[in-house]
Amino acid sequence: MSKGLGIKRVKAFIASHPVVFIAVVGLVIRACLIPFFTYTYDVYHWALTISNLRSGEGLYGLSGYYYTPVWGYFLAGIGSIADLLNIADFGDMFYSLAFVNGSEWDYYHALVCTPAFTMLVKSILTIFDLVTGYLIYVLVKDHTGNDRKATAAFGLWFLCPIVIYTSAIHGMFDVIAVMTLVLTVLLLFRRRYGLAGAVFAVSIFTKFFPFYLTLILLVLVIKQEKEPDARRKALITVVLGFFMMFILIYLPQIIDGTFLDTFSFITSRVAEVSVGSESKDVWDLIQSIGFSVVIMLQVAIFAVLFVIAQRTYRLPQEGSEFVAKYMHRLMLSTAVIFLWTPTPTYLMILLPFLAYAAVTRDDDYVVPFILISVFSTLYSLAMHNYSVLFQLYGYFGVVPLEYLVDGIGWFDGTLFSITNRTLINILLGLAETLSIYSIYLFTYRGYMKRNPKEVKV
Amino acid sequence: MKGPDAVTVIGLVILALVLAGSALSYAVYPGEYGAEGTPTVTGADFRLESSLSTEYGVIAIDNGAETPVSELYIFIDPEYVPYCTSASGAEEYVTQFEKQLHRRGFDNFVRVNAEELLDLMNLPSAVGKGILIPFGTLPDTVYSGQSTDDFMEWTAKGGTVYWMGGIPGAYKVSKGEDAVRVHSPETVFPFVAGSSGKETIADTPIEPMCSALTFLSTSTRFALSPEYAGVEGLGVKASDGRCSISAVKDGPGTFFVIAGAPGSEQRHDLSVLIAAGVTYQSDVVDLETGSFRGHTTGSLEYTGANVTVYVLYGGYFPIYGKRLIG
Repeated sequence: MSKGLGIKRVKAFIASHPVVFIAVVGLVIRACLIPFFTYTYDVYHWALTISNLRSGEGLYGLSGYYYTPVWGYFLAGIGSIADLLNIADFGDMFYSLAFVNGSEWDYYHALVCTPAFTMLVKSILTIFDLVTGYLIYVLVKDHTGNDRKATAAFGLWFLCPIVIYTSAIHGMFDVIAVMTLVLTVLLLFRRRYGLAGAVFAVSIFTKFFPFYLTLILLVLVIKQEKEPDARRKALITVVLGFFMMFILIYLPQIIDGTFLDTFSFITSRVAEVSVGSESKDVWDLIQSIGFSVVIMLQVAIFAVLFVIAQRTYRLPQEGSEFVAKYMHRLMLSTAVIFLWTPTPTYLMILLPFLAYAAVTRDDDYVVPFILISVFSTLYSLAMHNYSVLFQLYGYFGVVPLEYLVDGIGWFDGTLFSITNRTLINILLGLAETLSIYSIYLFTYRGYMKRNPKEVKV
Repeated sequence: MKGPDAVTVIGLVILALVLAGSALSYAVYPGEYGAEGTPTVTGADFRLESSLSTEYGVIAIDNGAETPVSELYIFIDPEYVPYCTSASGAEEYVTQFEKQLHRRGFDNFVRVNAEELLDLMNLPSAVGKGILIPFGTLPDTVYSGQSTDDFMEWTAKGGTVYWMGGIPGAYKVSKGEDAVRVHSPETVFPFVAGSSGKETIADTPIEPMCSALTFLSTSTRFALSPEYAGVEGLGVKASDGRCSISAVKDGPGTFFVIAGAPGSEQRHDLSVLIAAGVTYQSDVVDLETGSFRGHTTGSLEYTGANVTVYVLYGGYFPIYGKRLIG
């Protein structure tokens, strides 16, 4: 009888605190993944960055860190926490895994970080997942006043497979850029302009993609402030907040002369040394062509973003009607950034706004949300494949070496002169791209549903 | 009075975290590190200090009859561009290497250009001195592909050569021109017979030195053939016997070949190899490892007279190194 009462109480608690329940479920899923599965390549570079900092070379003195400084600063904090927790061993070389260096895929690593170190990094990213979920909840709640919708948006984000994978397995920091972008939007709506500008600087200098949204975010300020003086003051405050934070972020690199090194992710990562006759695969060719296509697409992307921002500026609606339209166009803008096929984690930037659209505007947006979540996760998994098991092999001894050798060997195997890996990457990359494009399809369908007269035309 | 809302607080906390991380990166790091070693009747005592929690390895290396390198000359000359990279690529790579050497506790290095490299050949003795040829290309000031070339003087006088980026002697370059291939370099450097550009991945560490010095590279491209008499393997060994680092005596001097294309792993291995004073005859005779914060002490036991004691903090992510003895 008491057992039945317990279940009833749990059900009652879930019914009254669904957000807490979702958060617990999301955390439990992450807790099951974090200690055992890690994509070793990027996490290795985080450990290297911390050791470079510890050796006195800053973020850019020794090679190993190729991003703008913000994540490096978080790594400095993670290094300090590791020190407090006496985590002295960051990783070990498993020479038996050296066979991966013979693979055509360059992103395997036989130096595998310790479970303690990777758990620390990924746990901190999980906290950011949670905070981002909370911010999405607040954003929807602020705009709709509807707790259920806010909870649904939180759930879509926090239980999204690619969000879980990126923080709990990949150990990649995209969530910080997403969190600060959502926070920027919230702060702008709340007219905390100076703080919004500063947080936006953090977002951009974590990963560059939020930069694409600058125009449409400025449109929000302009539309919110009707009086010319207030509008001018608001814009100046945003810009000042941004530049003050920009200078604070970059001050160390300005002082030590490594400012240009912070953009090495755009230029080159390493000194090119080529001793010749390194075999090139179809995938290298695709990447090379793809890079050129991405560069060329930038003109189209910026043009479309400009048009969206301009048309948003001209919206006649006010109040909640404007907010609804604005948020929808913000979501479309995040989708336009990726007219190309991005690395799956980059897509996280559009998920909060797609979740927002799915719960506030049109349920159908759940379809692209799920498609993007699933295919980007599969794409990530296909790229990382057996390397996410290296920790289980090296530190827990539960995965046999032959299993990894055979598995990676299969990915390196060829079909019609193309490796299985390349074929899978092409297929999943295509699926990911189509899932992004499905946003436009559902936007069109939604438009037709709301404007049936247009069909007759 | 109403306080700031949760969203504002989150914003302020994030800004504070970023600024705190920035201060940590440049004001608080690096930690304070130090290490001292004292020879004893049975070996050596050591005392280590670190303000940060770190792994350490203290290694006693018996060098037999060899003298560890204590002076290093790095050949780099923008007017003599090597076959495998540009002048700027070479500059960037060597700069990184120098920083790593410094962080591993080896500061006695200097860059030499093609003319200065020739001057080095006139030194009366090269014992305890090393020359690094980082990109597999020698300038025509010292090398033309003949066994009578000036470069041969270096090992003849007991010097050490660290060769990276190709088969020794396979490329030469004249001022302002493209590097050209030297056919049959084995006529000049007989020990390169059997070397090739073929890649075999090494996966068997030659212990205890490999793990003790945290060697990373597993490439054996350009490695010396184990079939040549006197070739010693260090680092990691492949199934065909070739190693990521190979060494051979060339008269009284020594030739080290760091296999593979010059990359970050090769740079790491070479910097530790030089900083630790590894020679052709080096053998690890004792090793103490652990982790600590603050300070720790210990002792090593060995009997040899020509022993180098080297300490490395940070394991496979080195943050500090020092040659304590030797």
